[in-house]
Amino acid sequence: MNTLVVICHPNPASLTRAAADRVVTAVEASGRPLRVLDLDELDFDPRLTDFEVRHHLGDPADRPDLAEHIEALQWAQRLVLVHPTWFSGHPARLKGWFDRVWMNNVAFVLPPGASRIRGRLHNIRRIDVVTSMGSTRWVNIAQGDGGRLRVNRTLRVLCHRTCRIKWHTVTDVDNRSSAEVAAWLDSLTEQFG
Amino acid sequence: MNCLIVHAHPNPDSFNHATRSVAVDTLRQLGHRVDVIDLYAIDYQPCLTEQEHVDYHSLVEQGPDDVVAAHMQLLAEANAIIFIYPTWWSGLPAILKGWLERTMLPGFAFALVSDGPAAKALKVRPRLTNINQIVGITSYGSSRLDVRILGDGGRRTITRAVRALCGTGTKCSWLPIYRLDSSSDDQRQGFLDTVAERLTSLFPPTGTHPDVNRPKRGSA
Repeated sequence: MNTLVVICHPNPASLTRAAADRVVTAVEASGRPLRVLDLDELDFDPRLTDFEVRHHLGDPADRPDLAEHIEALQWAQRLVLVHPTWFSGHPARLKGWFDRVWMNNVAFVLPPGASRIRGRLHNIRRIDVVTSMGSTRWVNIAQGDGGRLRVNRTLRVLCHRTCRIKWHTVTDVDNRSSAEVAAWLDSLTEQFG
Repeated sequence: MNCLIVHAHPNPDSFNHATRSVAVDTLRQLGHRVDVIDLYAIDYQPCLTEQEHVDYHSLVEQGPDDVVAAHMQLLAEANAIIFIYPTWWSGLPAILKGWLERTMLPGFAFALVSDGPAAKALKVRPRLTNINQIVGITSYGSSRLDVRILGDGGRRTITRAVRALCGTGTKCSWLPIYRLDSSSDDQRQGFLDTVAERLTSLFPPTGTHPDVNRPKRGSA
């Protein structure tokens, strides 16, 4: 299964980065085709531009700066998102990756006369989300749970109709013992191997 | 009242900008102070940096960068925050999401406190208790029904996560326009009129209502 790992965290010493290392190492060891988009290393600009808004039904050919991202997204069968949960959702850089890369003729099409967009990412059959959050599950729900809703509903309908989603979440992370965090990291090695 | 408008749209000719002009003009005519943070116009950098993450819990004491500090000052002086933005992928544009991440810092927008020595976990306490009102003005490409089904994460982020920083008694109002792409000129003009009317009823003219600037319930 072609696996695309998208990583988003500014701090190399963070738990998210440690989790990303585990995922990448495990997929490499399994021998499955792997691509990695490290949004911070690439210094990905998450701000949808004036041009992109004016041409929001434009074509990927007009976005040479996003070509690497678009090509990887269309190549992937398994999409793995590795990021912290901030304000109950995706960090700005990752949100902007959706805003800019999941564009017309890549993630969706709007057929003439249609009132709803139709998904185009039928290549994606599985999404894994690896995330840590400072709050508990219940606090995150109280704050809106925006990240989970976006993946499970808004993005999933653009993918293959049988696309499965698995969340690998560690909650309340500041109050966890180091043994619990280590066990979570070990579970990633197992699940992505 | 001091109203802080936080605006996120890259195209100055957009309907979103027209909405903002109506909001600014309406509030100023009513005698309120209006500050505008136009995130795209100031080329706002929305990504939390490595250093900001390393120093996150002491950033307020250490002094955040000049742009963040200026925005914190505006927030501290505000009685109302008005967010104006387009909804993209069920949420806030990245530039606005990042503004929350960089500006709503611990020790400023909220505090992490321990309930006595026996308590194990730190709890979040609101610090933006000066904010009496939150208003969201946003456009959706989808219909109202589809937005309901898909979850409306942006609205939740503002009416739950941001509101939680303001404490109890803060009023949230939502002014949406659905299916913007297929809306007629009449519908758009109707929405601009609605924005002006709603803001006028939410923010009565200064001086006419002596209770307008009264501290909200629950604030110190």
